[in-house]
Amino acid sequence: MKTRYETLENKNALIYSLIGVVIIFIIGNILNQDEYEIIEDVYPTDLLFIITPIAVIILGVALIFRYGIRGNHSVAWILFTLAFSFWFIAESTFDYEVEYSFENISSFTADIFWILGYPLFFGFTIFYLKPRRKIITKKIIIYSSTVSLILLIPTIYVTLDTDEDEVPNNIEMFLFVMYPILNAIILVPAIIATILFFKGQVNLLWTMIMFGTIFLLMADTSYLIFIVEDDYYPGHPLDILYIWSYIFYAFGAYSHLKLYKKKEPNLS
Amino acid sequence: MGKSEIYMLNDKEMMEELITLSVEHALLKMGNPELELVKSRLEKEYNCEISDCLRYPEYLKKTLEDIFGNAYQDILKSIDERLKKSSMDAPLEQFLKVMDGS
Repeated sequence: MKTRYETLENKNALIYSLIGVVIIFIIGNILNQDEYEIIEDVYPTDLLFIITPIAVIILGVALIFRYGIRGNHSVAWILFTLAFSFWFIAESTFDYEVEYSFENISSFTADIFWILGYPLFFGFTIFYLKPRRKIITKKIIIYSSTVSLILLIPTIYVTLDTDEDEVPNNIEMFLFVMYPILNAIILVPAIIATILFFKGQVNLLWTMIMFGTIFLLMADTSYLIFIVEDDYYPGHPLDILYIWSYIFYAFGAYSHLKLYKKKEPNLS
Repeated sequence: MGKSEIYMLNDKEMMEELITLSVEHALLKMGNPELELVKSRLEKEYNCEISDCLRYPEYLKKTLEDIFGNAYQDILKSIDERLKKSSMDAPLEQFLKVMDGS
């Protein structure tokens, strides 16, 4: 059984990780990291966009090996790992100076992978919840959807309040508005699962996934606001929210791996 | 041992087997690690197996609640449906009654 000590240990590690990310961004901005480009269009704080998704993918792979190919949860963890693999490719191909154009389809590479990750992540939540579908009431669905919609209000407000001349082009605006909407969609099953597993040890995974998704939604909403105001740059503080979301997902997967770790054979 | 006593013993074993299969089936729908965890918790916390839960349903209930929280109710429904397919004996009714009690 998960002891109180283990819970506190994980909680401290989570808090240190979150604070550590903030410190890295503060240092990056104080030292003016723009002058320390690692490779073309990659700055020191961008390394966190490589490290954190990789951590989630490694934990996902460990869970796939743990679950094998039997049961709904095995499919769920395969989809989870695929979703983060796609998002990792998206992070790796992201370009700060991208100019979207249908004539240059490669300008959409990062976005294509980001978008493809969402149905996979949604599939993960569905396969995890599938064995419990009988106790998912309409009331829980309505409650979860309402919370997601409330969190979408800033996005709707910014979209309606933005003049056409403030946005570089319609494709860009469409993409930037779509991400908060996609996040709100995946937030619905995350909230449902958090309610269903309330008081259970499995709940730690879903609480982490719910917070991760909320931070992702906040990050994409902030990104929309800063892009409209043309005030986004490498190492922008809003990137902290993106990294935090990956950290929450990683800790969620880790808590699940720890809960369902293989038991040592009893030799006595 | 009389003829009727042999019949009763077999009947009890059959019910234990039915309980075990129902619980295992419900947990395997999620995954093998879930089943392994429930089995190891029962052994560690109560020194019993799933089949013993016919006599001690509260052990199984507490274990499922600890791991799955509110979702425990769904696992109960799954077990309940499977058991209802078989004839309902008094011990099974008692088992379901304890499991269902909040």
